Amino acid sequence: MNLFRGEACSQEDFVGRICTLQEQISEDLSLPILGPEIVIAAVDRLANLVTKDSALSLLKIMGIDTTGIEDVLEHTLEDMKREALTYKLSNELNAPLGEWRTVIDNSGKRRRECYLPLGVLLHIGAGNTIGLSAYSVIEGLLTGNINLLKLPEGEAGISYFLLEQLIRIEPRLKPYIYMTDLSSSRTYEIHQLAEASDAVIAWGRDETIQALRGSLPAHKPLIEWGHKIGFAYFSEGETTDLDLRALADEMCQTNQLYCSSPQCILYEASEGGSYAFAERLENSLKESSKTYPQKAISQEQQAEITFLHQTLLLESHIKGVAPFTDAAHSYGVMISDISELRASPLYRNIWIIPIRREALIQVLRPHIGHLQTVGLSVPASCEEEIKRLLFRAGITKITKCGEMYLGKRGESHDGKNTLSLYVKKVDDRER
Amino acid sequence: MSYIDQLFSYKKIYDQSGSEHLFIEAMRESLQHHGTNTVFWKASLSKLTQYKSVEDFYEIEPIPSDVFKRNEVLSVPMEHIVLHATSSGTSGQKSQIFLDQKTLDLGVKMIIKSMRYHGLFSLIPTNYIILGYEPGPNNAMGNTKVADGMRRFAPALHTKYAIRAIGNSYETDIIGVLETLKKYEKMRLPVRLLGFPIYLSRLLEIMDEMGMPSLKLSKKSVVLTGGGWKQFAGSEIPKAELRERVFTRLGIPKENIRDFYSAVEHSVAYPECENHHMHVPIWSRVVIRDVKTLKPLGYDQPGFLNFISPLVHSMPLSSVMMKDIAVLREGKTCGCGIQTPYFEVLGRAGITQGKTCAITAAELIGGEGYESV
Repeated sequence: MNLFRGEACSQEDFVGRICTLQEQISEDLSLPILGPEIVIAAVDRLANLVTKDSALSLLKIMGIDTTGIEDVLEHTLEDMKREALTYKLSNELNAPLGEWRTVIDNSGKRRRECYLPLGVLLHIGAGNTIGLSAYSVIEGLLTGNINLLKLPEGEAGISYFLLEQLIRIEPRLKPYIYMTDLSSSRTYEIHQLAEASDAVIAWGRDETIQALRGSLPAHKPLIEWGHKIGFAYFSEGETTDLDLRALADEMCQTNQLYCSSPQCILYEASEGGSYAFAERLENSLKESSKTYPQKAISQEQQAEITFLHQTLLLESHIKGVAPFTDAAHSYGVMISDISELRASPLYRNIWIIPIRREALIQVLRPHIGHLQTVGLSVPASCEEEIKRLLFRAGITKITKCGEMYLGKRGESHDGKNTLSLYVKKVDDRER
Repeated sequence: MSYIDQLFSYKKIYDQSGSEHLFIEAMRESLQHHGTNTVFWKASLSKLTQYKSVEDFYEIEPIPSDVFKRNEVLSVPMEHIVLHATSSGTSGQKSQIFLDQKTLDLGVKMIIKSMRYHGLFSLIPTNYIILGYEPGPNNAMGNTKVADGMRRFAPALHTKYAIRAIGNSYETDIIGVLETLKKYEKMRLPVRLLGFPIYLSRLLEIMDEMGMPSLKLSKKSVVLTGGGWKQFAGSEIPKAELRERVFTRLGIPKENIRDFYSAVEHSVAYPECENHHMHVPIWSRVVIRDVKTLKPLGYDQPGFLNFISPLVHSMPLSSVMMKDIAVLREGKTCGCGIQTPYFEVLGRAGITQGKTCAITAAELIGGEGYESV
C-alpha cells in the first residue's frame, strides 16, 4: 500500500500523482509549522496502543522472525512514549522548533534567530530493523517536516501499519506523510521525489548510498545512516570471563544483526594468548546457545559461514589456526593473525584480532566512517586511556559487553544528534 | 602415457561410463602428485589404492576457492609456470592461478574437443565483440585470457572490446560497441559476442533506451557468455529472457546463444548444450555438498558446487569447492542426447541483503568482495 498526503492509494495511483507533488507540497509548506506537541501526542498514543505482546503477535502474523527482538521492541516502544520524545527534542535540538529568539550583536544591532524544519525529507528506507522506516518518518515529523518515505524491499507492511495508525490517531498529520513501495529500480520516479525534497535521508548499504550520491544533484544534501561495524575490546582483567559471557549472550540473542553488534574482538594478547582466549569464548558461546538456541538461517547465510570456516580450516595447513566451531557450524570463533578489522559472517561468528594498544589508532583509522560501537572489557587502571584512544580513532559509542545493541535515551546516532540534522537555523536581521 | 593424458585423449567427451576407469586412475595420479608436493590431502596418500570408484574421491577434502585468494599454492616449482591468471574484479582479493605447460596443453586439448562437439568451430572470417576487458600488460584476469583464446575458434577479422584499457584504468564503451555492431551488420559476416552477460544485458538495455532499431546480424553469429553478475547482482535477468532479447534485438538464433560456466580456480569449461544445460564432461565430476555438513547430496538438492578433476598439475585443484550454490540434475532429463548430469547455479553464499545494518566484508574492504571469473 502507498500513502499520498496521508491517503491510502495504490502504487499506480501514487505514481500517477507524483507530477502534482511539487504543487501540493508548495501549498502545504505555506501552512503554519506542525507543532511538535501534536506529533508527540499522536506517537505517544500509538506507542500505548501497540503493546510489546500485541506487536510481537502482529509481526508473527506478518511472517517476520521475532527471535531476539523483544528487548529492541520494548526499547523502541519506550522511545515512542511522550517522555522519551520530549527528552529527545530538548536533547537534540539547540532550541525549541519555531521559537524566535532575539540576539543583539557586537554592533548593537538586533537580530532574530530560529530553528525551522528543513522542509521536505525523502527517506530511503532500509529493511534491516523492524519499523525503522516508520521511525525515521517520526523523526521527520518531530522536526515539522513533510516526509516522503520510499519503503525498503521486503518490509512486510510494518511501516504502513504504523503510519496508517498514526494518521488515524491524528488526521492533522496527513499533509506530512507520503509513503511508497516503489522498487529501487524505478529511478525516474525516485528522482522526482528527490527533486521535491530539501534533503535525502539514506539508510542502508554503502552501495545504495554510493549510487544515490552519484545520482543526486550537487546541491541536494544527503544525510547518511550507513552500515557500521562494532567490536569488543578486551584486555585481561577481573571481569574478563563475565564480559565474555555477556558478549556471547548478546551475540546469540541478536545474531549480531545490528550495526553496533560485535564482529571482532580486539584482544591485547600475549604471544599465543589468542588461542586460550578463543577457547574461553567458545565455551561461553556454547553456554549462551542453550539460552538462545539458534533457529534455522537461510541457506545462503549458512553457506557463507560454512565456506569461511572450511576455508580457514584448509588454510590452517599452510598458516593460521582452524576456526573454533561445531559440526553444524552453528557458531564460529576465528583467530586472525594480523591486526586488522574484519567483518564476520554474523550469526554467532566473531574474529579475534590481536592488538597492541599503541597501534590502536593506526589499525582503526582506515575504517573511519564505518566505526561505531565498542564493548569494552579492560582493567579499571587503563580504562580511561583506552577510551581516549578509541574516541580519537573514530569510535562514537563505548558501552559494556552485552549491551552493545541497545540504544539508550539521549545518545547520539553515529555521533550525531539526528533531529539537529533535520532542521535549519534561520536569521532575521533588523532592517 | 599417464592416465591423465589418456583421459584427455579419450574421444567421446561425455562418455563418463566408458572412461570411468581412466578418470579413477587419473585422479589417483593427480592426488599422488599434489599430496606429495603440497600440504593438502596428505591423509589420502596412503589410501589411494583403496579409491576404486568415482564416489570414493568424494571423500577427499574439497578446498574452498577462497584458499587460493589468500595464498599462492603451487605443486610445481615456480619456474615451470607459463601462465598466471587472476579472477576478475577491480578491487578486493583475487584468486591467483598458476598453470604449467602440461596443464595448458591438456586445457587446450579439452577446449578444442568441447568447442568441436558443440559445433562452435567455424572457418568463416568472423567479427568479434568482447564483452569484457581489453588485454593489456597489467591485465592478468583469467576471463581476458579466455576471451582472447576463444577468438581462435573462428578466424578473427576485427575485434571490439566493451571495456577498454585507458592508462591504468578501464572504461566501459557500450555506445562504441553498438556503433561497431552496426558496421558488422553491414558486413554480413558472422559476429561473435564473447564475455560477461551483464554487458550483453546492458547493451540491449541501451539499445532500448536509445530507441535503436533491432539489428539483423548474420544467422551464423554466436554469443558465448560466461561469468556471474557480481556487483550487478540484482539486475540479473533470467537466461531464457536474455536469449529471447538477444534474438529479438540482434537477430542471433537462440541455439547459438550459449552460456559457459568457468572459474579460474577450476579450469574445466562447461558450455551449455543446445537445450542450454551445462553437462559434466569426462574430465570432471560435480558433487553438490550440504552447506552445513558438506556431505554429498544427490540430484535436485541445492548445496555447494564442488568440482573434482585431475586436469590441473601445477596447483592442488583436484577437488575445489566454489562459493556457488547449485543443483545437479539427471542428464537424461535434458533431452539433448548427452547422458551425463548437468548442474544449475542457483546463487551464491552470502549475507542476505537487507537483514542487517552490520557492515559486510565487501564494504569493509571497500570493494566488491569475493568472486570468481
